[in-house]
Amino acid sequence: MAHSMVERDVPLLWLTRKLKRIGQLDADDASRLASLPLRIERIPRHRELVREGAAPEQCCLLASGFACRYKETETGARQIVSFHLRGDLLDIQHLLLARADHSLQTITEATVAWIPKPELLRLAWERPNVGKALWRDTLIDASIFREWVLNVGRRDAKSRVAHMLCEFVVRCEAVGLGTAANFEFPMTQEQIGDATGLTTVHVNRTLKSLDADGALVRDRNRFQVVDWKRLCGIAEFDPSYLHAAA
Amino acid sequence: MPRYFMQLRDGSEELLDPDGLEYADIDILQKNVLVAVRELISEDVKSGVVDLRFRIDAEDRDGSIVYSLAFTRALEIIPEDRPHGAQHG
Repeated sequence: MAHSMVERDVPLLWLTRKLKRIGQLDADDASRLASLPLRIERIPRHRELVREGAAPEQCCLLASGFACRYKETETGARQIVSFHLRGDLLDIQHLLLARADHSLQTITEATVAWIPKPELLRLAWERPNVGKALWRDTLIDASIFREWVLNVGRRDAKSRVAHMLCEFVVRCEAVGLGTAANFEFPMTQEQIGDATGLTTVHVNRTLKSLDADGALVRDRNRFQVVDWKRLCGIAEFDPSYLHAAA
Repeated sequence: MPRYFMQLRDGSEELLDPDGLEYADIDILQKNVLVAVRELISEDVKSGVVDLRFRIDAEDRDGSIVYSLAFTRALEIIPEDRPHGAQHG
């Protein structure tokens, strides 16, 4: 079953790469990580992975495609609080918190690996390098959330959208998904609106304005970066809050 | 659920909605058009220039306009000479 072994290895390979980027792992740490039990699942786009209020028994590791975390008001207005890409553990908090306080959803077709909580937790206790890297991962998550509070609370629509796009680009670059020079975004205008607290019409007008500024170019629902420096300038983007994650 | 497209237009220009969104009924669609128009106006207010020449046309998949809202109809402006306590509108 060589084929299934290769498929099995991919998610943990991305996780190991990420943890090496943000922490220090030795050969034993890496081999313990590579032997974690997991269940791989292909998921269509816009599919819920974890629902707020659930009590997950496994952690969700993204191996391909894109996902987001979000919360909703009682009337169903949605706020995306973070985007995720391959190598990200989407709900590492459930190792220590029983209930999901937000929901997870794919935004494109995706491959996820479900890892049983007790196994990941035991690895974190037994291999301090792994534990420390996972801790750093949650701290960097928190730093990203702080930046998003600033973004949604204090930047005008154009800088806000530009900033969200800049973060997405540098995080994708860090895992080998595209380059800033001609990056094409996978999300819809609705998803950008949910991440920035704007209506889709407002996102549309804002993207048009970024296009007019020469930072992006749009063709119907596809848009890509054409002038990275200009986009960063409009966003006032300083990636230091991403620490080693990008 | 039916999908509608929110086209932003003035007399000469238009910004077309590439994706559209699904709405359970026309009532919810109309509410969302109103929210969208008011949000666009409020961003204009922050920039100091309000352009009221636009409207949003909500179109179905066939391109038929099922609802249209002019920016001027999305808000009430109380003139400075109207006494407090007077009826709005």
